[in-house]
Amino acid sequence: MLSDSFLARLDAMRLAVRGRAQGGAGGSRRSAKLGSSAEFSDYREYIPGDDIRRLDWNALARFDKLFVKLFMEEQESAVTILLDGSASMAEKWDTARMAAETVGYLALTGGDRLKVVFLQEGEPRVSPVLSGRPAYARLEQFLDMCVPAGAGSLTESVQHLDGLRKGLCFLISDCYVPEGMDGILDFLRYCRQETGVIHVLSAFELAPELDGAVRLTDAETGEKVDVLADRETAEQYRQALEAFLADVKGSCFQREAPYLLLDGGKNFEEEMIPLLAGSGIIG
Amino acid sequence: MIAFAAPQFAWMLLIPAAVVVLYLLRRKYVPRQVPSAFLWQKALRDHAANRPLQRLRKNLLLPVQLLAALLLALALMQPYIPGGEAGRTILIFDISGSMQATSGGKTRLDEAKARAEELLRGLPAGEEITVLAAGEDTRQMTLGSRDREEVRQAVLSLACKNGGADLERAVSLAEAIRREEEAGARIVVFSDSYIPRSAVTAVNSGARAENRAVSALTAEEGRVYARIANYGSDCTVTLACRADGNLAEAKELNIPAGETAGVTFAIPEGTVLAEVEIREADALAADNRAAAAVIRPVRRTVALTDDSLFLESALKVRQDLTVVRTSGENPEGTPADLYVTGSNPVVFTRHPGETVFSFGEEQEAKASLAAEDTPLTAGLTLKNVTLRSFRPVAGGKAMLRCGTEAAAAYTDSEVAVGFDLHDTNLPLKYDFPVMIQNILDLLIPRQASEAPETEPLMPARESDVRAVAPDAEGPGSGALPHGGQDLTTWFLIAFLFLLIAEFLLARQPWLRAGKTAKGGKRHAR
Repeated sequence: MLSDSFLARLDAMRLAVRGRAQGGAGGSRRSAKLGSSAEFSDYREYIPGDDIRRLDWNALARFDKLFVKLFMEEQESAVTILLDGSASMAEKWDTARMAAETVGYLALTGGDRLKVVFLQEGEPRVSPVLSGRPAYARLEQFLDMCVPAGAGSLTESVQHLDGLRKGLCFLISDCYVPEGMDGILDFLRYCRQETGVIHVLSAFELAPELDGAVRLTDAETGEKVDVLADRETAEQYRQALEAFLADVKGSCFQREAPYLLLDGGKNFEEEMIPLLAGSGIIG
Repeated sequence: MIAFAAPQFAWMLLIPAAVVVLYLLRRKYVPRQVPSAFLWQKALRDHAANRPLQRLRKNLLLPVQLLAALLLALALMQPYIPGGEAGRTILIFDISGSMQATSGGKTRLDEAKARAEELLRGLPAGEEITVLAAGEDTRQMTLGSRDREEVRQAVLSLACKNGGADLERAVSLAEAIRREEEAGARIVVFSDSYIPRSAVTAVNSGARAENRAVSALTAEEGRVYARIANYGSDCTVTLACRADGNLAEAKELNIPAGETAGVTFAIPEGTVLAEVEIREADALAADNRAAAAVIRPVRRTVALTDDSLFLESALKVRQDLTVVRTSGENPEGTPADLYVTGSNPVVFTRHPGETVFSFGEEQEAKASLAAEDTPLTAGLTLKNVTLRSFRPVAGGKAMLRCGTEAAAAYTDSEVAVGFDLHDTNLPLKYDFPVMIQNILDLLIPRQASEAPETEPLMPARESDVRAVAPDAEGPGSGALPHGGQDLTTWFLIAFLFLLIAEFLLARQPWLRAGKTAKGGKRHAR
């Protein structure tokens, strides 16, 4: 769905990772292990059996001792996208999907291993582990198969996830969690995930325009709410929305989780780059 | 101080309440699906409790509409300022049997008296008031009385009778009184059935009610025949028959709605007075009981001088008659109560030879027979009756005419028929036995043994209390006239003014602006 020009602009960006990578294969993230990258780390005395190619000949000349140069090993990071697949996401699915593609593309071009988990009612749908830029097409194929439907608790869906490896995690959701986002973020932190939250809301949710008496039906639960559109109601909604956004944002900031709010009514590609830059998701 | 001529419309004051209810209920919610009602529920949680009142709070149209509804209700109650110049008022009270019908524990006449009291209170001091009681005859209770207490007592003393009421005659009398007054007078009729005409106000009392009545009662030796009318829905009534005050028999009777049903009771021999009573209470108690004296016919003899099979057969219909033969020359040789002499003319007389009639020459009948309006022609149609010839009858009152000549005439003691019964097809018609029975009823009426006087039965139109005057939808309907300044027009003008104001207000854009809500705002990221 993303245009080539937009993807070209993403090529210049990398996902920001605060911790050390812990992956199996070599990558571009600094890992805790020492290895063979170009990045110098330390010296130690030569022990028989060390690779003599790493001997520091200048040190031998100066100190008459054999020293071995140690280098950082660069490994790939695990990036997981948790995509909310409940019915409430249907209206803003295009925006949520483009956000997932953007993060996925950044992960794939950054040499990370990418996994997308589509959180839906019942068992989540999990993509194969993707790596390398060519895997972007497979990412798109996977997202094509995802259709938001059904109800279900986001908290429960997240807490039933297993197989999460330490790494980056991006939750793309409308964050309608009655009990608040704290539980989800804490759980992900417990799973050693550096979590970022991409909060997607539709234009109607951010600025509803109603006229007269309206019976609102919840797409997910079928619950009905009778609303008489007047200034007072609009003010009440505005206050509720602000409190909700402040609550979600506050939960993220407390856990140093990058937060990004996407307006489904706006042009995604125009809005996304500045938002990414300001959110701390890219580094 | 404002008074109301039609306070019975006070329930219209509920209209403003109805307007408020309609405001609360009229909302038609337009369905719309949203991704989640989560935020709306949060937003409206605190707001919902006082939601209905919130809807009303900022609506400028509501007070205007409430005021308009209130004015309409008050206008219907016909407000006026009591007082004004004294005039003349004629009150006519219907005291027919149906005014005894009860609803809510009060008779229609009680209700009429209460309405009259209301009216009297609203009339200016010095008003000259005439009270007429309209039964089968019209009685004048007061004439132009300024003494309000006298008028009240006259009204309170009114009592219903079981008969009907000739309201038209009473109104005519009142109009005659009004014509004599230079300043005119208002006429108010208190009735349950009067349909007002111009310059006469009807104050209707009574509500539609169901009733059952004893509509006919005949008692003979050993048995009583009663007919019960059902002026209401299907019912089963319990009937008790008393013979001289002792219960003789009780029966249950099913009567379909709006129909009548007959029932026979056995009574002991020698009973003088038989009574039949409907045990179930209904709207009108007066017609639930009827009494009849037991008829014991006295046998009579009719002597015929000439053979006439038709005449003999018609006479024998009366079972108390014995028909005998007598000679034409000396009819009184055979003692009889009635003599029928001759064949052309035929004379029915109690005293043969003492006739007042004279008969002309026989002439051809050039016109068909026509009946005069007399008791002897009651029930006659004379349809397709033809006559060949007749002898014009002179003397007495004509009962049948052929052209201008009397073909039959009568007096209190004799009847002369100026044609041969063989010269007409009248004996072959239904009219013949009817005419003969009418003649017999005049000349030798049935005689019963001495029996106590009984009250006549209530007429059917009085017993039928299902219908009331068209505008008397409920008890106490019909506006009372008053002597004060009428404010109804002013209230109606104010009501129309407010309607226009409401219409103009509803078109104001600034009033509609508050109806569209734009919630939320674009949030800085």
